Amino acid sequence: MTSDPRIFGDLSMNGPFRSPADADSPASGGHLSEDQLNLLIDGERDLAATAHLASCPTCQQEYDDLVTLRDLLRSLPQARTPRSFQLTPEMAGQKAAARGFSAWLLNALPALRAMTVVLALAFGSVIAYDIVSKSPESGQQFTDQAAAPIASVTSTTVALAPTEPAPTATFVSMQKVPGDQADESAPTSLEQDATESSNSSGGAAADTAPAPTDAPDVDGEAPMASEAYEEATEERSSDNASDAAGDTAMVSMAAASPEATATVTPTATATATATFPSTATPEPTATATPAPQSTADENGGFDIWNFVAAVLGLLLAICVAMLLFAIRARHRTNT
Amino acid sequence: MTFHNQDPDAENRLDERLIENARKGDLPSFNTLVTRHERTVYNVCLRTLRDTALAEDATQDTFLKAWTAINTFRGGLVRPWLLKIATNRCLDLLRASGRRPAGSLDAQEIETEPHWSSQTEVAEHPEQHASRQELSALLERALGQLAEDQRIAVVLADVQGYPYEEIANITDTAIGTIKSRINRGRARLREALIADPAAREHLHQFQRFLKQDEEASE
Repeated sequence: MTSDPRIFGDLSMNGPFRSPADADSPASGGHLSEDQLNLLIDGERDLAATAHLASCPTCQQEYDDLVTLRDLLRSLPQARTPRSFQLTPEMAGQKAAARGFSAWLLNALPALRAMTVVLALAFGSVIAYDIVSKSPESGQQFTDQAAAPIASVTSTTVALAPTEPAPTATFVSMQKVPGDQADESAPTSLEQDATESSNSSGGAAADTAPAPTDAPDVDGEAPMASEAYEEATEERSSDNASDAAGDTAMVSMAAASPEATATVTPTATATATATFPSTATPEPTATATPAPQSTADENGGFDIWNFVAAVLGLLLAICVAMLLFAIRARHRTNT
Repeated sequence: MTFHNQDPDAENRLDERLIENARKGDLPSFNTLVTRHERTVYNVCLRTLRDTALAEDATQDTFLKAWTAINTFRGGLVRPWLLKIATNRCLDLLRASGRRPAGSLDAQEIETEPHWSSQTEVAEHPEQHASRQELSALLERALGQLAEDQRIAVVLADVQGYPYEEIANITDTAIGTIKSRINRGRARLREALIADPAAREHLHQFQRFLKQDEEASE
C-alpha cells in the first residue's frame, strides 16, 4: 500500500487504514477513529471531532474520501429489471392449491395409502366371502351384478383348490362365466339349456363320453353348470381338441351321476369349497349341501354382503381418486 | 437512487392495503406489490450476487416465496420483509455456488448492460461525468470484493439509502453490528480505490470538481 505523498500528505505514514490503536482522541494529538469519522459522515454532531478535522489534513482527507465514496455509492445507477417478476396465475395457482386442499391431501398421503390398501383388502375379502358362501341361484345373480372382480377372485380360489373332478374344465368355465354369462339373461328353458349343453359337450367328446344323454338329470338345478361345460368345451375344443375331449368327458360323466350334480353345480357357480366336500364325499347327502346355503343366502345374507361390498367399493374408489389427486398435486408442486 | 420519493407514509399504507388483499388470495394485489418493489429487490440481489442471471432467479424466488409465505408476514413494512427474503435467498445462492469470488459484474458488464439506467445529472461537467463513470465502475468492482455481510450492509445503507434500523431488521442483526459492517465496508472501499493510482487520481479529480461546484454555488 503506497500512497502518493503529493496528494495524501502524511496519510502515507499512517496508511489508508488505521487500527483502533491509532485512534487516539483528537485532544491527544492522534487521528479520528473509523467510527468517529463515520459518525460524522452520518451527521452526528461531535464538536471535538469537527475541530480536529479542521486542524488535521490527514483526517480531513480521509473524511472527504469517505463522503465522496458514500455519495458515489448513492448515485450508482439502479439496474432496470430485465423482465416483470409478477406471478402468473399458474405460478401462484399452483402454490395456492398447495396451500389448500392439496396441501391437506399431501399431508394425508401416507394415511391415504394405508386406507386404500385396507379398503382394497376389505373389499376383496367381502367379495371372496360372498363368492364362497354363494348358492347356485345367488351365484348367477351375483355373476350378473359384478362380473370382473369375481372373475379374478374366483380364478385364484379355484386355482388354489385342488379339485378332483375335471379341474381344467372348472377353471376354464370360471373364466368364461363372468364375461359371457353376464350378458345373457337367465335361461328361459333350463331343461333345454341343460340338454343342449350336455349334448354339445357330448358331441365334442363323442367317443369317450359314455352317457351324454343322461345330462337332463341335472335338471334346473344346474343351468350354469351346463352352460359352463358348454363353454369350456367350446373353448377347449377350439384350443386343444384332444385335451378338451378328455376333460369334458370326465365332467360329463360326473354330471351324469346323481351325486355329481351337487359336485358340479357349486363348482360352476364359483365355489371351490363347495367342490371339496361334495367331491370328497360322493354321497347323496352332497346334494343337500347347496340347499341350506341357498336358503341362507336368500334369507338376507346375500343382500347385506352385496351392500357392504358396494359401500366398500365406493369408498375404495373415492380413496383411489384422492390418492391420484394427491400424487398429481405433489408432482405439480415438485415441478 | 431509491424509489421512495413520494410520501413514505402514504406508500406504506398502500403497501399494507395491498398485502392485506394478497393475504386473502388476491393475486392482482400481490402483483401490484411485485411491481412496486421488484426493482429494489432486483438491484439488491444484483449487487449482492454480482451476476444478472442469478439476480433474476433470486428476485423471482423472492416473490414466489413471499406469496407462499404471505401468512408469515407479521405486519410492519413490506419492503424490509421482501428484502429479508431476498438477502436470505442471495446468501443461499452464494453458499450453493461455493461462495465463488464475486466480481463477474465488472465495469464492462455494467457499461454494456442494456438495462442499466444512467441517473447521473445531465448538468454535470463532461470531465466530471467521465470521472464519475470511471469511479462508479471501480466502486462496483470494489463492492464485489467486500465480504458478503459488509457488502449487503453497504449496499442497503449507501446504495439503497435505507436507515440502519431497517437494515438491522432486514438482516436480523443488531444495529451496532450493522454500523460496524458499514464502517468497515466503507473503509475497505476507500482502501481499494486509493491503492490504485489511477483510481486515486480519479477520486481526487472528482473531489476537485465537487469543490469547484460548491464554490460556484456560493
